[in-house]
Amino acid sequence: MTQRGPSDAGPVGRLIDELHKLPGIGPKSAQRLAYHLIRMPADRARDLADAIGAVKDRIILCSACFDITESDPCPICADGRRDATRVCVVEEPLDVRALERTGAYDGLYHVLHGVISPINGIGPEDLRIRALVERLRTGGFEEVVIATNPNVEGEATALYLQRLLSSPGLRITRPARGLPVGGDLEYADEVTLGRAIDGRQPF
Amino acid sequence: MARPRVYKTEAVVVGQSPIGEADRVVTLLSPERGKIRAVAKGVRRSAGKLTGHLELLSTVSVSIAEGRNLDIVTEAQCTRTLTSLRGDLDRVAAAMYAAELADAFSVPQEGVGRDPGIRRIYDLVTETLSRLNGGGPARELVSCYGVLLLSAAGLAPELMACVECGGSLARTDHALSASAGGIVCPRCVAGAPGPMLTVSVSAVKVLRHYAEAGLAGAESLRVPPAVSAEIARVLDAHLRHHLDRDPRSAGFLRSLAPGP
Repeated sequence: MTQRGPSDAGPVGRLIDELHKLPGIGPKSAQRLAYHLIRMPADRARDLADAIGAVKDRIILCSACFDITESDPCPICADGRRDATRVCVVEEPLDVRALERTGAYDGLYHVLHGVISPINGIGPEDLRIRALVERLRTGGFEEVVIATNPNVEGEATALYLQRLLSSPGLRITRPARGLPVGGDLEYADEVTLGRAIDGRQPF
Repeated sequence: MARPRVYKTEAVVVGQSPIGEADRVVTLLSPERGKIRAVAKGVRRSAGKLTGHLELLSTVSVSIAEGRNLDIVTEAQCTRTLTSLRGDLDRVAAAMYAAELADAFSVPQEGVGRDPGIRRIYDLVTETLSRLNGGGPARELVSCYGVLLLSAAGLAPELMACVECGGSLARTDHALSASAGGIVCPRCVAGAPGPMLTVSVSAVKVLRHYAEAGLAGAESLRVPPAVSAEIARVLDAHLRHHLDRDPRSAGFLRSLAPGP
């Protein structure tokens, strides 16, 4: 709950409430940000408001991969130098950013916008799966990398896709799983550690 | 006496939803404390100390600090992981369905006078998950689990006699009503409440077998798909009646089942 005094009612209170709705912003941070914005020069505050407005007005989903973009097709789909025989299936647009930062993948993407979560009532029909099937049927792809998260729901989604997409001539792969860089072995859970040992590499 | 602010318990993770930047609210089912909803901080980061230890369907040993609204998981150690289950779509869908039902049929346990039914539900869900992980048949196990769960919650359908008049049943197709609470004989059908399902003698026999022989008995039974589909309809009707909704994961589970 947002804690604020009676003097904060009105526009300031509304601003604090709106900031508090953002991910990772608690009530205290919302207050600090609000008072920072109040002290900010008017033109800078308006720049911020314009930037938020522009994002909402101009950002669309790419009609091929469903990543968020300003242009359709998105820069990745439109880039002729990328390997168009490979598509990497991810849960969210942020996963595309994470994979791009690695520089290790040069194929295309397909964003599902979620994961099959039967317990929360999310089924395959709520995701961009039909579009993926259609894309694979017509796109001439040779490999699908199913990069859903390595948790129970992400793995269930991967298994569902594997069953749905299996066809001769199409390689279906999953990113390798193992120990995170910088972590301690003793804190690793059994599944991660087990898979890390199973997938050990010559040294 | 006030309860300690931090407590330890065994639990199975029956539900989860993301919250905040890297946290998750997990729903745990503990044999001592019933249903617990607690925040697991940083569990979505790949190097968080709780990461991997609070996966859906795992059995865990947890330390929980009581909070004002939600409790907070301070430590978690996975005591049983379901490695092979996670690699099989039909079994993992059955396991998620089992977890959702365990969540729906259990309540938090406060103080003394705890409900012994909660331990039965806990034992039932952990045994079902373990048998699914061991390669047991998904359809049979999950149907048997449904029957036993209704029974643990005190809501078992009457399958041995007419639920209205107590009269014995003929060896023919039966009418079954979830709102009446079981099989209704032909004489009572007109006066019994709720929509009626027609159920074959074979389906009723299998349902009785599940109620008597338990999960071990279900594992050794191979039920023809048509009978299995009938049983699923009976269970769905009962669950819908008692929960006032369809289980959310039922649709996905049924969509994977081969047709009758």
